[in-house]
Amino acid sequence: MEIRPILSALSRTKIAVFLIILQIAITLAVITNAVSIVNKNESDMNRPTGVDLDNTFVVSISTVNMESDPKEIMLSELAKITATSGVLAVTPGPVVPLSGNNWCGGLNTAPEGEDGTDVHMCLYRGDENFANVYDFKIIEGRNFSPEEITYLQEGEDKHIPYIMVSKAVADELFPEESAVGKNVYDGGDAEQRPKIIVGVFDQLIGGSPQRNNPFNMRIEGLVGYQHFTRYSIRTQPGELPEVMEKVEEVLKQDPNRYVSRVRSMQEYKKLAYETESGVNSMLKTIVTMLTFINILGVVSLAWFNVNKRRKQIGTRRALGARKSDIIKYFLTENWLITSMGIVLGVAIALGLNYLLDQSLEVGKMQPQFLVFGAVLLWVIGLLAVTIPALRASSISPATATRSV
Amino acid sequence: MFGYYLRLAWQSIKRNYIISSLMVLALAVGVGSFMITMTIYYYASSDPIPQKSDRLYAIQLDAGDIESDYEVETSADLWASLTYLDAKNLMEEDLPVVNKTLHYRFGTLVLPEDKDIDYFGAEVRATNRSFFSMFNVDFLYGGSWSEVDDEGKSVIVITEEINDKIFSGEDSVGRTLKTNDGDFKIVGVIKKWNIAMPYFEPYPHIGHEFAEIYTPINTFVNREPFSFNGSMNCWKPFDRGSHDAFLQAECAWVGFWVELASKDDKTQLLESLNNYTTNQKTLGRFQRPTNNFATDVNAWLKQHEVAEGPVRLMQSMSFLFLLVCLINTIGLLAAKFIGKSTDVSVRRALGASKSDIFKQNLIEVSLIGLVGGLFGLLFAVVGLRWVRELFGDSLERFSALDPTLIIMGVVVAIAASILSGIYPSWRAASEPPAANLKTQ
Repeated sequence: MEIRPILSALSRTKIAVFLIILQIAITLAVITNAVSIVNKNESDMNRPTGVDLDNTFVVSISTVNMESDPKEIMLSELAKITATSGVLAVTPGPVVPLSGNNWCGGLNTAPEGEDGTDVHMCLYRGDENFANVYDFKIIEGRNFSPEEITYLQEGEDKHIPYIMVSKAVADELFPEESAVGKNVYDGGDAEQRPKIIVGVFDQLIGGSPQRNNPFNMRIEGLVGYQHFTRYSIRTQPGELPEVMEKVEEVLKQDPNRYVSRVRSMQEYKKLAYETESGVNSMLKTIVTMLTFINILGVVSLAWFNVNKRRKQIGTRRALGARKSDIIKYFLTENWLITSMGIVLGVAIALGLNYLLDQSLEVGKMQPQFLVFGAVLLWVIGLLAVTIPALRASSISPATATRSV
Repeated sequence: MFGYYLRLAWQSIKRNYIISSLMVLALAVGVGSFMITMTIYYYASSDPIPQKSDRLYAIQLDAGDIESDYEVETSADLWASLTYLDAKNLMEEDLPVVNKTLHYRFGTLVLPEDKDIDYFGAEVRATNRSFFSMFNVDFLYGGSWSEVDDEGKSVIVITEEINDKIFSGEDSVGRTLKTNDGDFKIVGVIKKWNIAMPYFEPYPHIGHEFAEIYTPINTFVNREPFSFNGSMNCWKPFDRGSHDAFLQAECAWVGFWVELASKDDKTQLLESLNNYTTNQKTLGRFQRPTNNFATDVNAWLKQHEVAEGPVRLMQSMSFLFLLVCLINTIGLLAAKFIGKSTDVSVRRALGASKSDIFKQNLIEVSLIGLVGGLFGLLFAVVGLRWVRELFGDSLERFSALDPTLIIMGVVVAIAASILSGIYPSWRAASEPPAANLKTQ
């Protein structure tokens, strides 16, 4: 196929061609950036959490009469929940994964005033059942033993000597050696009493997955007897809905307690990623509509060209061009236009990605998304031009001899 | 003449109804999606209190630890609240301001006496009586509590929503609200907030709920067990078993705002703040370089990037989408006008001037733009509902179209279609009539 005559024909309608190239270029830039963001959000949402999402739920509960004894209440409630059929494990603690609440504080390998490594992390608190409720693995060391758990009355302060840390934290605190058995220090403790790391777990996601390093976590062996608390409960596989109902019913029997929320971990996860999944749905819609608009643009330009060139096409046919030559002509023309759009589009896409990354930290564009966008636009273009091209090829050679 | 052009335009639209409706559709989706993101941006970035946003200032002080190695260049580098100690001191300090307020949030459990109404959790803002006048809060019944109440009386102001729920909208001033934190005398009922979010929060963001109950800070701050919702940042160890130690501790958690008589007083305000922190240095506090900030309402919202992130992302994406729709419309119009060049040539030959043809085409284009814009608005209304479902209740206050937005939508649509119509109209008008007629 000769490309020169096509280029010279295109140069006669410079502005129309430029517009369609611009349209394809912006489309490519939007589609590739959208796909790149959707992909990043989805990989964030699908990463392992360390929570058995399908079989874990959380009850939030508070007290009507603040004069009552929170210790007595909690012990009786824990007993009631444990006795409910279908419950595998329960642990009390106000901060739960993916809930949007965070409790954070650093740990240091040396007490204040000495040189050590400081690592920032967030924390959960619970008893020895915490490791049974959540679905992480203790890869080094061991779980808390029941006598290692500190119990706190409301308003009381005690040293919390036993903790477990995530692998991410252990690797940062003690990069060369095992963290198990090591002492670490909390900057918020005036007396700088050592905490002992009894175990290292693989991973458990924090309260807000959008924070930096959401897997930098520690678990403190501590239960606070408080009026407002949450119970994290894991059920036998598949029994979540029934157990949720049963537990709520059991807890509601005490008129002094108010169950403010019973929510599954799947629901927590959905809420934690509401913005990301909302952005994804909107971006997917924009990509779909853009694809459609683009087909419209390509078809209309081809249609316009076919109509304008009826006489020329007839003349070419009369001079011996076959139908397939005419089809080939339009396909090549379209391919040329799309390719020019794609070249410009890749530049705009990278520019847009740079701007978005600067202000919103969407991450660098991966080359495969550019390839995907380019292939998509080539295919759309060729498909869209087929019908006008077929119509052009059916223009009779006699058109050349007629004057209308 | 205008009526005649309008008739011609209508005929031309009818003749090419497929291409015309495609144009309307492309414009509608483009304008519609742009409107959706503009609406959200408009609410997130609009001035919540235009009467005095340039006279209300949030205060930040760098009371940090001398050993901390963070650097402070702008107010965004510093935590957005004060220690209780500083907030309390500044309330007593002689500052060049007409009003000042301090506040924090916590949760309570409301226990309605009517057994038909379930208990429910509510968020309480502990503050002082100036809060309402400073932030122009409108009262439905009653008013703010008195200066004596500020010392720690069990009084509250509730929102219209709670008043509707418990007292079926009647004037509840003087009645009692029971909570698990005790019984409170209602002194006022405030109207529904009609702004996007509580901008006076230390960390405002889209989806931030307004507190439902307001009460004097001194009524709660000394209570044990102490409860608090929000962000707290501590940088020095203290005895965590003692509430008094906590109230004296280096922990930032109290929001602090001042109202100036004129924005020109800001320099004096900063001077007074610097004086205060310099005096505190003698007590061993404020060992870091002096970094005190007073930030007005709009700068505060900018600092917290409430209109950034996903809002900005979706806005830029939908703008590019509108751009593609417009370019596409130009292409479709060019195709359409070239298609009727014979028509144009005949009219030109019969004496119509270039500008007549141009005008007539432009009227046709504007008609398409108007229809596209109206459909776009419809699309935006439906789309906003869909977006609200996607993002949940956090967008509740962001999804209503007000008249400004509707007018803006129509203007965008017509401007867009005229903009995209100029080139094709001109192209069609400047075709040499003779060339076209000769081939007939």
